Amino acid sequence: MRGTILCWVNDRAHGRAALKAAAGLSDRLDLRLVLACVADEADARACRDPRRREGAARLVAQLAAEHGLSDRAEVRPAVGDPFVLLGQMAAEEAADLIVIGAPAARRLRRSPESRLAEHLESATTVPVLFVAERSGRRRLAPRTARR
Amino acid sequence: MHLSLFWRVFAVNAGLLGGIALLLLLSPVEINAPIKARQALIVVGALVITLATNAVLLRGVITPLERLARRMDTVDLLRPGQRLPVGRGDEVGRVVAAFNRMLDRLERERQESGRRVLAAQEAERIGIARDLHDEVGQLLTSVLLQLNSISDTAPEHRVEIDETRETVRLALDEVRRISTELRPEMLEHLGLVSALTELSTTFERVSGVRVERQFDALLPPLPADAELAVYRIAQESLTNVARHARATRVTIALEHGLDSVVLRVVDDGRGFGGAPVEHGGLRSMRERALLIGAALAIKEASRGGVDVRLEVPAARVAHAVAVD
Repeated sequence: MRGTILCWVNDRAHGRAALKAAAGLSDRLDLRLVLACVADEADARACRDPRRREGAARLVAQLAAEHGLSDRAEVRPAVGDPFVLLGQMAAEEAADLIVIGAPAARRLRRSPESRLAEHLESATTVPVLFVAERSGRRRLAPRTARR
Repeated sequence: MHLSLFWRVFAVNAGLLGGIALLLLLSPVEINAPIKARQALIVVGALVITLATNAVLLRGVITPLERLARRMDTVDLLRPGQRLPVGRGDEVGRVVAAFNRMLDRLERERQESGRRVLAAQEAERIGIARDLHDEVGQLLTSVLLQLNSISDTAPEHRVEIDETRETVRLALDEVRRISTELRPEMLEHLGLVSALTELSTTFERVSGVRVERQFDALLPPLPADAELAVYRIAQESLTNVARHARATRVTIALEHGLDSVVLRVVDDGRGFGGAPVEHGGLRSMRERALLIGAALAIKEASRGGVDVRLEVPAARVAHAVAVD
């Protein structure tokens, strides 16, 4: 009986923090771990550029290797709108939890978690766990999971 | 209070123009003709500030429309459930709400038409399988019997007759194989694991690709439509392996998921060579998964090749049992 964690990774501090937290959770709870690396691209033509996808594939493979996850994590490199693609991947992988790193908040700007949560709300019904960049604190997204 | 889009844009521009007018009325700035360098600098500076403020304020109005256009470009009815937040009561909010309602309707209709198409396809397959088995199979069998009797009466042509008999036997085997592929009787009589075992054994014999089977014991039973979908998706995956993968080995597995049954077909072939382009076969797999409420992921395997993963929720089983 194994559930699935989908983790959105990138090479920035909050992406690595999310990967670390997701790997820990997957290890402790014996959950399947899927690492999604999405190169953000609005232009449809650029989305079909194989070099961008290869870049995302290289990056996610490198991050998985760095955390010793090459053997047990599955990877999903993609190019396009990260929130749409994350929603699609969560549905395709039957994910039970999405783990996302939130960049540190800046003055005079909305908290990054609230912006991410707003985007994700329409893309997926899977619960989202945000991992804060600086303190490593984790908190649940302020919305109800309907799954 | 909800302002319409028109009044929002009007308010942004009126506010900016009013601010400029107020500044001109109250500030000690003078504009001479011909204009002096310092005055030109102030005018240009004010223009830049006005344009930047206008852009920032209008961005908030236009962004939801851009998001809507992006979602319209990428929406896929075979990946249902993606909606946009409405968030506001103006024209943009109403367009987004209408778009969401349209997706509800399209997804429902797509699901219904998909169900009808697949049901018709299955009925047609059963009909063709029956005709092949009952008509063509019987004819070939009678040809074999006739050849046997000719062989007895014309021993001088025994070699040619034996060759013909072998060819007819091969044709008979092929008819039986196609008939079984079209109508998996094993699935009806002995269940999913036996049907997948037979399917993969035949695949191994015909394609020459080595098959590794990993079937968990005591899997929860699935309804007949879900079992058929799992079988057809496995069949299509193996067909793709034979046609495109150039693989030497394929693993087919049925595992316990979290309140679900998981089918995996993983090969060691050349993979997609980029993002998978979903057409005929892959779309049909997605359609079948959608109709039984299963999750289907088709992706590059971690060591090359293609990994097809189908997770069928066991909640359907509990529901089916309760109804019965």
